[in-house]
Amino acid sequence: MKCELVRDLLSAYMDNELGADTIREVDAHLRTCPACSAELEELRLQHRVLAKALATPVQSSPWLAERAMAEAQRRQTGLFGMARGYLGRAWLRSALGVAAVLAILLTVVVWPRGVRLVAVQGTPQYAQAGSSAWHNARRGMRVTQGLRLHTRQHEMITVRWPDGSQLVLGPESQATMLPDSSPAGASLAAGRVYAQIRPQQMGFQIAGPQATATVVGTEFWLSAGHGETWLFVMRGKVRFSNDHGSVLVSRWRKSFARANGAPSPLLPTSPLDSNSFWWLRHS
Amino acid sequence: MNPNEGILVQRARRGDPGAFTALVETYRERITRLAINLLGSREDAEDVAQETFVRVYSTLPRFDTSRPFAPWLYRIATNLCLDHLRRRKARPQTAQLPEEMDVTASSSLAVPSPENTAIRAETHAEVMRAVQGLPENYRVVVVLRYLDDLPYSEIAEILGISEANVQMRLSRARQRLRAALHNIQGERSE
Repeated sequence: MKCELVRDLLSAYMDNELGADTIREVDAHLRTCPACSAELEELRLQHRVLAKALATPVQSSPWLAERAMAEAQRRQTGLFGMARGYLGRAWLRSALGVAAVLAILLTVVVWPRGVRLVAVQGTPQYAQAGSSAWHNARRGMRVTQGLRLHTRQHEMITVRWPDGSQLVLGPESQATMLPDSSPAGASLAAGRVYAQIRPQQMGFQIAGPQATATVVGTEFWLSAGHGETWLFVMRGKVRFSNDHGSVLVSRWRKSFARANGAPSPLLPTSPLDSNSFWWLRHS
Repeated sequence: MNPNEGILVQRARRGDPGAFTALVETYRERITRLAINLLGSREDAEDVAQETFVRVYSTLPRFDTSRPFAPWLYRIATNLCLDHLRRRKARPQTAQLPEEMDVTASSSLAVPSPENTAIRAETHAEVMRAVQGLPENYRVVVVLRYLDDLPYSEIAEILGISEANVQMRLSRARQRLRAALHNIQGERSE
């Protein structure tokens, strides 16, 4: 074997990716060629440097599964997802099918205007502003100013704005929806809400009992109970404030507030925090 | 694919969110690292990692369970990274040159450990910069090789090329990296 050929093979030789015969030939060459042996040594040194840099574990978002599922479901229930799902079916090649698609598209184009309940799990309740009469919430119903929502164990509600921003109210939660307020948002009395806010909705607010979260960025969740309101930010930045003070919470940070004090300094989030978020996995 | 993973894939295909979450937990670090090492940008890498799992969630019902899961997942992530690089090229005014890229992305995200501290941040950044300086078709092979010690056969399957092509690209990529990494190797061997 000539040096030129051996040098082309050294990378695969080091990776143990050559056939037995070729390995024997390279071995034989290396025993008699100090230059190629030195080349192999240098390659091994380089390998260690590369492996250290490229194989070093990196931090990754602990909420990736939740975010991916929420985004996939958002796309599936959107106009594009519906059209693609229906168009993929053979029966729609008939004239009747095409007419049905047009009807669906027209409905969907008109339907999403305004803020709506796009997913309802279980039989959560709603009451209109100023009314004490509670009814079963229905998918598709319009969210009006002051509408109160109440979920019990294992129940959830997803509320979507026309721009795709969405709030997911978790189990055992109570919130008042404020779509016409400026900024738009909701008020959480108890429980948890997960928010995925589009950039157009900057200034979006969710008020907890002890502090208010104002969107500067895009994705966070708010939890209220036991005299504390907690904010966890997954993406962008969220202003967390009450009468006693204010903090700007950046991605992968959390803060909490009690009634008689300013929101806490920023704390790092941990993968364990996503355990408090389990309900979204079942959306 | 280990038997447990096969069961998780089957359950996730049937819409079990817990099984899907377990699969994401198994692979989220590797997919994020793959994207950081290919794109040189943490922000872009996180977007690609999320998009990878969105695609996995949406297309799992059509996944052929007789095939291994990891190469399929890596292929989705790699193709999304390559698409991203193509879009970046198509926008010359915002294209990032290798020397301007966020090459410290993975070092700033690295999980602290005694092993990590052995590589100084600047050395890590130099290695990342050298890798980012490789042509795309070489870089992708290097990144996949060091992702999980992937064998050539698996890299070939992910990229849809022959094993001989993987061998050739990796050998040439390492030759190109020699000059760029020569100083670092010198320092480390002292």
